[in-house]
Amino acid sequence: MKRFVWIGAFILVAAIAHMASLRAAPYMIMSKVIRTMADRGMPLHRFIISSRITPQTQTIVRPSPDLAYSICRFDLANGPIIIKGTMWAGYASLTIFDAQTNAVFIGSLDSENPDENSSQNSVILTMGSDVKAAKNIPIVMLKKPTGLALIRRIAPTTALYEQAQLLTKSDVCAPYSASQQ
Amino acid sequence: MKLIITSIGLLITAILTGALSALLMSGVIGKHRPKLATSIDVQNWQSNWAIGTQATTPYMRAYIARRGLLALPKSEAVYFIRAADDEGRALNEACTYMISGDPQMAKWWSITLYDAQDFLPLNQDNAYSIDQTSVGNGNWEIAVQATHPENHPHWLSSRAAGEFDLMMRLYKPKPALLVDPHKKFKPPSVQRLHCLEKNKGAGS
Repeated sequence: MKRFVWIGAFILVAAIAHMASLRAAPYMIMSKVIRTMADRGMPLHRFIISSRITPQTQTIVRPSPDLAYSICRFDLANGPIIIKGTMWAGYASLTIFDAQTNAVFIGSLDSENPDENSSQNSVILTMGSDVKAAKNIPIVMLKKPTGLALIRRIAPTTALYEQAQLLTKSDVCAPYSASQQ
Repeated sequence: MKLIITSIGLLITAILTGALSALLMSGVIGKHRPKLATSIDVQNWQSNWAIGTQATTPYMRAYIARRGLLALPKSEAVYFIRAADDEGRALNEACTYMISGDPQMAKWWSITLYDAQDFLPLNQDNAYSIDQTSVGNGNWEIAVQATHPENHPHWLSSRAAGEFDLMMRLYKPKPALLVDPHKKFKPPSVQRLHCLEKNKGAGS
C-alpha cells in the first residue's frame, strides 16, 4: 500500500511539472529572445531594421531572406505605447507579439492590396484600462509588459531592402503620452 | 533522515521527468514534432493551421515558440514544411533535386531551405530562397543542390546543409485554400535526380 502512495505521488508531481514546463516554455523562450536583443544593444521603443538575412546575420530560427524585418522591443511598465507602421507597395504587415509569443494584433501595411486590416496600421498597447481611444486607433490590452512589434516587408532584392531600410525611420514605436489622448 | 533524503530524491526525479518529457514531447528539445488534429499533410508538405493563434494546445505552442517564433496566423500566412522527396527519402545535401510547381493561391510565396538546426545553411552562395517574383506567374522549376547548376536559372543551395528541409510560405492565402487545403493547395513535387556515390542511400 505504501508503495502505491509513493508511485502515485511521483506520477502526480511529474504530471504537474510536465504541464508547468509546457506552459512556461513560450514565455521562457520569448524572454530569452528579448533579453538577447537587449544585450546586443537593441534600444527600447524604437524600430530597428535587422540586417539583410543571410546565414551570417540570422539570429532567430527560420528567418526569411526575402523579407525586411523591422523590430521594436517594448515594455509597458512605465505606461502605454503607440505603434505605427508606414505603408509599403507590396505585402507588408505589422504584428504585435506578447510575452507568451501570441500574435495579439495584426495590421496590413500593404498599400497595393487594401483589405479589412488596411486601416489598422497603428495600435496602442497598454496594461491598464485608462487609455482613451484616439483617432480610431485600436487599443490592445496586454497581461504582461514586455513584447515585440514586428514589421515584415517583402524585399527580395538589395534595392527593395534599402528602400525598407529608409522607410523604417518613419515607423513609430514610442510612449503614448496623455497629451496624445 | 533516510526518509527525507529519499523523498527529496524522488521529488527532484519526478520534476525532472515531468519537465523533460514535456520538452521532448513538444519538440522544444529533440526532433519530435507534435502531431495534432489541426495538422495538415498534402503530399508530404506539412503544416498546421493553428500556428500563430492562441488556441493551439500547449504542446504546439511550445513547439512553435521554439521552432517558429514570431510566426503569423493563417489569415496572414501559412507555412508548409517538407523534409522528404517524392519517394519519402530524407532530403540531403549529397543529392540533387528538382522542385516543380504551379502558381499558388496566395498574394506571394517563397521557398526557403533550412538545415537540421532550423537555420539557413552556413554558406555564401546567396541562394537561400526563391520567391514568386523571381520565377514569374506560370509553372516553375527550382534546382536544389550544393553547387551552382550550369543550365538552370533558379537555384537553392544545399551546400553545408547536411539533412535539410524546405519551407514554403504563402502570404495572404486565398480563403478557399484555408477552407480546404487538401484540394486547393498545389503541392510542388520534389524529385531526387541523383546523389553522390557514397550517399546513394541517403535518407532511404
